[in-house]
Amino acid sequence: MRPGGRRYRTVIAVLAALLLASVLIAIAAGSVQISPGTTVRLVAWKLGLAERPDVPVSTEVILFQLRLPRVVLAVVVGLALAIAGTLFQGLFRNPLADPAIVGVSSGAALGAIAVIIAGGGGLLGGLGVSLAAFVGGMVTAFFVYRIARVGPAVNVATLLLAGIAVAAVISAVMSVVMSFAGEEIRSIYFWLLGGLSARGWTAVEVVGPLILLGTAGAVLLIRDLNLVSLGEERAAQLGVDVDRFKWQAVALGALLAGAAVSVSGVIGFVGLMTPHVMRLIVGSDHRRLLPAVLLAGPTFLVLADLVSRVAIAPQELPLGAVTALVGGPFFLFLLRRERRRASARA
Amino acid sequence: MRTTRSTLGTALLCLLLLAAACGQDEPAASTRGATASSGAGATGTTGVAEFPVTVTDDDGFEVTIPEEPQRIVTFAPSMTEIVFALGLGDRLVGVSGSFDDFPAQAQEIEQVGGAGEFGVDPNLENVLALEPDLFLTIAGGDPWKEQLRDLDITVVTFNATDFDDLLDDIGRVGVVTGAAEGAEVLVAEMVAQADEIAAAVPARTTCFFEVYFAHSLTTVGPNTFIYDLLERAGCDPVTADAASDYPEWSVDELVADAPAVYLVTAESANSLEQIARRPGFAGIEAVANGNVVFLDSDLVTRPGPRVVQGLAMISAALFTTGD
Amino acid sequence: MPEPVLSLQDITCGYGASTVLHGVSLQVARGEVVGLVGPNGSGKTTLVRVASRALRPAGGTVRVGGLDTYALPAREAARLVAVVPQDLAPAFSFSVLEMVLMGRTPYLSSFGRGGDEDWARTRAAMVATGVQHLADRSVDELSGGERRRVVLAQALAQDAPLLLLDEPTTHLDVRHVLDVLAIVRRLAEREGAAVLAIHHDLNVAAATCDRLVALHRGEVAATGSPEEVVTADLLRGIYGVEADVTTDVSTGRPSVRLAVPSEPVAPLGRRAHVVGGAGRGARIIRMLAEAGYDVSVGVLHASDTDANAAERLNLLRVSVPPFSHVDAEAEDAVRPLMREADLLVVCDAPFGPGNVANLRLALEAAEAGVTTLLLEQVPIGERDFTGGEATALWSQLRRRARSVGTYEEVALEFR
Repeated sequence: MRPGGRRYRTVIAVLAALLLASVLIAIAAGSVQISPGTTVRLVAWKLGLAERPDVPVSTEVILFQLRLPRVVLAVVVGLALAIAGTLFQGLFRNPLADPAIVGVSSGAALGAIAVIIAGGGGLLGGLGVSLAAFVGGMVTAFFVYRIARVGPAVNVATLLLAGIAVAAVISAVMSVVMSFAGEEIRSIYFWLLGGLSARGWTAVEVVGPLILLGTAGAVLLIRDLNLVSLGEERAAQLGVDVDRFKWQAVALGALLAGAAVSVSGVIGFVGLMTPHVMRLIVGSDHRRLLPAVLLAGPTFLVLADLVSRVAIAPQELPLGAVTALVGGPFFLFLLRRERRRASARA
Repeated sequence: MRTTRSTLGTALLCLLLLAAACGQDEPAASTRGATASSGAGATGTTGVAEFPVTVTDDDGFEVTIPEEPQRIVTFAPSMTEIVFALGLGDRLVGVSGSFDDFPAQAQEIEQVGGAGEFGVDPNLENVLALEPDLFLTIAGGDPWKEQLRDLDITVVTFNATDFDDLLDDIGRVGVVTGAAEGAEVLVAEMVAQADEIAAAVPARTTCFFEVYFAHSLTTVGPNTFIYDLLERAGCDPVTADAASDYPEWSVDELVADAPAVYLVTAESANSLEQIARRPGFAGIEAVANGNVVFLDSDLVTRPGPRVVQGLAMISAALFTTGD
Repeated sequence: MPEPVLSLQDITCGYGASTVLHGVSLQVARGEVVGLVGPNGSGKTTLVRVASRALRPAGGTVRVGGLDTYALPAREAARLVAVVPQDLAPAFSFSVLEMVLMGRTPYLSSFGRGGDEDWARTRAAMVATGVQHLADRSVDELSGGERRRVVLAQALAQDAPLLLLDEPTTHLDVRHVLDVLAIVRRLAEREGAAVLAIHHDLNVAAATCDRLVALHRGEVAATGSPEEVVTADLLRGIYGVEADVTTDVSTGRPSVRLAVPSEPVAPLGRRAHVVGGAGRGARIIRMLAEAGYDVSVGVLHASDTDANAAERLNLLRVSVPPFSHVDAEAEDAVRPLMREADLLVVCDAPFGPGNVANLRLALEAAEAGVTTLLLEQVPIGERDFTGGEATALWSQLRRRARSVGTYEEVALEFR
């Protein structure tokens, strides 16, 4: 994609429009039918632009206390996972990298489970578990990073393998711990299945700022991400402090992924797929890729959550299953199209 | 391109910030904590149902019900049965799901369950749309209960640990729904029937209760509701020394325990042959002798008014099979 | 003497347990192009990596512009040292302009789009390497030569006083080799850049560098001007090959011609003598030698090409100084060689007053019964510079000898 070209601008405009539309549709749609007109009038009223329409209080509550925070949470979690995925794919120079790769998801899950089994499920109104998850995720990422670090240098291949190994060990530990769980088993499974239900505004208020901070940090790394894509040694020759870049990327990625997992459990696929798909559309230059991912990640998760909420209402589908079912085939389609183009070019 | 991007970005940011701001508006008129209002909400006392009443539910929350509830939502089949048994079926506007099947009228009521990661949470939107003034449920689901409380829904949790506790809970349901008198009557009936059954028990016998069999056998421990029923029906389960509420029991140990009667729910097994075919089960005396009783699980696992029927059923089964 | 731009003193380093460099010292001055040569495994790449701040040496000092680059942050070091790697990594599809602009990284801030200076330097680098017309093309669409020049431009944009090149001409076709080297030379001369380049091709190194440093097993085997370093002894010593080192007439620099190692030939026990000249006999000489004949050659002028060929093959030859005539001494020397040969081959060389005596002697031998072959790819008429004498002798030879028109026919004669 040509720099600053018209095609890129069109793509961004389309993505932004899609995000906006998804958010509006997601707010308007749900298990309980609220007409789009009512939604618009209520939103207008909240913004101070109109009178309060004559609808029951329950409608207002549903919209602003249940749906809106959930959609906003989907936006920030989708953003966090997608950006974390982009960071890790850039760090490892591997399009298969995923936020779970340095063990963040497993560590977060273990942290959460530990607190739940210790009986602290109600601590800080449920936030205790989120905090434990976040801490667990960060500690694990830090631990994995330390294993891979020799002096100032971090071997990226070792980081990858260490992350996989640590995740496997944690998985095993979790299985053992879970076999001792009684009633807590249900809460525990939440962390492994992932979802956004019943989180409320507190969740948004807690992780929202963290995620925005992490995103800002990622934006500052755009230039280094591009340079490192030429190879670590080349980047160093051009003046990049490669070791500093590595720990910045790991820290930011872990921050974003940990924050996301702490409120939504483990939701797979978003972090892996979003940057990859965007790369196929706008190319690998991070100055173009990051804005695209910034818009696409939230869109994807908002839509996936919408599907999980309305497909079999009042029942819900597990969010992780929806992201895989929706994302997978689309990703495959894009991949095939790209492969065909590549072989035609060659 | 920069202009377009920054404009869109700003717009999005505004939307997010706005959305966050919107969230602050709702006053959280919590009903938690002691209220100064007078309440007659004591357990089992005779008295007119005066509102507001305050009870401490089994989750430890002190809940105040301001007025007699007209729109009740139950989130457990047992609660549904209790509400109907108190004659309040026409005030029931929401149930948990397809398991709320008794009485038949319950199946007509709107179902609000199926949400959450495990598909067993209430869908909060649907609950709110019903505008309930009382949400009755059993233990479990702290996260969504908290959400409901934050949204000013009156959530009351009763969890029956044994038969006596169930009677107590029924009484309290009566208090919070304004049907205290009806509850007293129901409770008295249940006590009478249970006493009758207990009196008719000829002798103690030993038994074993199978909850589920997959690759291992799951039974009940001494602190469970079913265990209490078994004892009242006249049997001493061989799982008296179990460490947890739903322990796994090895087949060999069961052979050694040699219970006189083998009780199993209809959901867990279909026929004697099926049970006998399981590896090692032929060595269990009760199975070999055909002293196996299939129970309607609804009657023994739902802590509700039909529990006495369950008692009767167990008792009858214990003392008419084999010998 | 001004301080050298690059100063490596007593560098010792290696990978893991093995030491690759043992106390290597090397300097590159301003405006100097130094070539680093040596066989595979001698430590050239390692040394350049030490100089480029990629590999910290276990011992010794690295100074660029008087500063220890390892003590500097990467950004500042990148303003001092620019590396031109062999090729770009399979990169994303950046445009050429973006690629070259990346060379300005050490001068740009995190978000900097670049000031006037940056754009000016970028453009200058692209013009110097001749890629300005490719500015908007995607890097992965370029040919190998174009990519190499883009890499070079990227390094030039760094504006560093030291330029390190890793085999700048490998895998390039001839034209691009010349381009790249010319650019580097201009850079050294006009802007005073100090250049250290690894070369595999000794001829290219000798032709383009001011100084050479030859490494052997992690030590400096030789250092100095190309004439001093590129010698047959050095080649034998560190490369283990036999080579012919001559001075290239156009550049005045040493030129290496490697001797193709030939299979040891079983001697036939037969002798052959070749009369050649002006290069016409070289092939025949070789053919006979490879067939196992004991070959002698003559009479030739000392600087004649055939004489060189014979010298390389270490053959017996009779020669006279250039531009002189075959004298009685030479005739006496060559006569027995011809007489005693099992095979005499007279090649279609040009004959003038200086060497027409060879034909007379050959005729003598032919008349004496020696098996003689006449090579006649070029008619005698065109080769006679004696005013007829050579033609007459040639006709007489025809009567005693077999005429052959092609090398294949010659080969048949003795196979």
